Amino acid sequence: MTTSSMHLNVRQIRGLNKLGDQMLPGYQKLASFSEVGAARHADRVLDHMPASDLKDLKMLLGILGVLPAFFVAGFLNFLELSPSIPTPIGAFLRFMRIGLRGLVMTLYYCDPKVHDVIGYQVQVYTDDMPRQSSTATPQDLTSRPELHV
Amino acid sequence: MSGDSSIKADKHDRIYDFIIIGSGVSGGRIAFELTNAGAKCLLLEAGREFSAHTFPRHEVDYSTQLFWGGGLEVSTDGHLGFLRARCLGGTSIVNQALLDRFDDIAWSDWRARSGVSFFDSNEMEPHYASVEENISIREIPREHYNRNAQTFTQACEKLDVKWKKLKRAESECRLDKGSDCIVCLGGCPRDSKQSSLVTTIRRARAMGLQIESEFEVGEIEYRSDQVRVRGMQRGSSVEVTGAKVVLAAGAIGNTAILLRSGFGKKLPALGQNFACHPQYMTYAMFKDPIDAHKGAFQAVASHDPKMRKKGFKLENVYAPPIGTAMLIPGFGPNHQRLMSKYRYYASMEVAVRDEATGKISLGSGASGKIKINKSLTDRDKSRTNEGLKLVRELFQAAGARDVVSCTQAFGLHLMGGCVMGTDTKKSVVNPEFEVHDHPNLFAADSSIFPEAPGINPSFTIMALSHRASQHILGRSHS
Repeated sequence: MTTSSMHLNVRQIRGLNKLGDQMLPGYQKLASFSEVGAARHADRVLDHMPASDLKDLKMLLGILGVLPAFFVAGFLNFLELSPSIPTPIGAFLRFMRIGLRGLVMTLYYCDPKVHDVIGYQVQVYTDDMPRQSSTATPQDLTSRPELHV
Repeated sequence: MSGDSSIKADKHDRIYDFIIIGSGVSGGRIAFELTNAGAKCLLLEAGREFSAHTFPRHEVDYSTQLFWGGGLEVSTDGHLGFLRARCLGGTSIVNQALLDRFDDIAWSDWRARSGVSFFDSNEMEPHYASVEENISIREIPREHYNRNAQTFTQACEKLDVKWKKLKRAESECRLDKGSDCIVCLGGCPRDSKQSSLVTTIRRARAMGLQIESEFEVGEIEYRSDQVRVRGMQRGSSVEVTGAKVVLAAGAIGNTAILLRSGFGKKLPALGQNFACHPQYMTYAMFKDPIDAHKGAFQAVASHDPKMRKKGFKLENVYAPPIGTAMLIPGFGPNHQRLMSKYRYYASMEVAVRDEATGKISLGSGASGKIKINKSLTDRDKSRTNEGLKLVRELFQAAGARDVVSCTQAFGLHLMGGCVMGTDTKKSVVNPEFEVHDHPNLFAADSSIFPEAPGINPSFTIMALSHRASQHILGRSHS
């Protein structure tokens, strides 16, 4: 599946898919990360990522894009050890682990096809809700008491 | 910043009576009370303004658009994640609107730690009562308990653990029409949730409250007769001026603003005593679907004096798919196998009354990134382990086939950093809600908590903010 992103280049998207397929390779009816095309949701996350985090992420994904898959798998297994590694090295690895897990899990588990497989369907009844503008209009203030500060 | 020519001298060319920074349960309440009293108020919010019709509907979108850090912030050691709302209405938009009064244990501990005499159930009762007057409070009827709640109550009854129905700030969820309240973690599309947007901000705006959203405050400049507030709004530097300023940006927000503004030298306790009620989820797989994401959400919780003494409580919650995937440990096919059983899980959460030993500071360099140094103490870990052990026993008693304990902890109740007290060396805010020696600068939100109460803080923040409003107005009139 061809994926485009305003933030990621082709190599970085390849890195994201490689990372995603290691974390989510597919299980029974749940397809792999790349089969789902989860990377196409990337900008929904990256648009709101702090600039410094985005810069670091792009660099890492670019590196992962050229590394062999077995190396990416080893890297992820190493990160899974991070909860027991002392700070400060452990802290750096834990940041990376939370960030990468967060990105991959978010992109995959926001996909409607995945929701169908795991049975996540939700709704809130709103048929009885009046339409209203998002902003109220300030009313005349002349009746308000005057406060002196 | 004051020499920056790009700064407008005063965006609205006026001096407000009050500028309120932050629009959550404290900022909304204070903005309402002050505006209602006739003051010219400006409410600043770093996030965007949404309404029932415009809240992001999907988990991925509300996680990234309604929270700081693009969804999650992390402690400096990487062990704890923090969820901090960033939108008009603040945390009240994304929480579960639980309203609990503090008990005598919490108030007594706060009094002992702070020297503040009004930390007392009787003293605070009128403020709770006043807040209740304009909020719809309900309990979820037992016929609307979903299977997650049923599992929780049955398990508690088997092991003789006391539980209670939760009091929820909501008006009309239409559970009879099939509403799934897990949706409201991203803002309630019915305006049933009694967020500050619904209960205070909208009403205050109708009375003349001015609101500036997407205004991220950088620093304040305190003068004896006015306070200048500088920040960025949609890419532009902006400065506004108020006779008085109320800090309502929460534990992390208030502390960061004061630190950036140079108050750290004058206030040695600034940034200290941070606590967060660390929360650990446990998922239990059952033979038949539980569908914990359907229907009423978080109807019940533990209410057991033994647990209260031990310093933890159990909550009956669940998480949407992304949250669940983040919490379930590991990765690979086994992770997907566990996620494929999403409908078959019940879940409980251990919330720990943690020691307020955390510290909020700013990193070096121009960016001055916020650092949250918060590690669990041995006592915190002991409480966590005891709670997780009990959860496992409860799920086993309920007939769970498999139990998945999550190791990633989250803090959703962010408290301290600007704690209230009588000792200027150990506190930041005095019992009149004024920053020590700065009579035109106030705070009444969770940043002033002397320590973790072990109880959901929202209702008490509203009550404290109501009390603070009376102080502020009394001072202004005098």
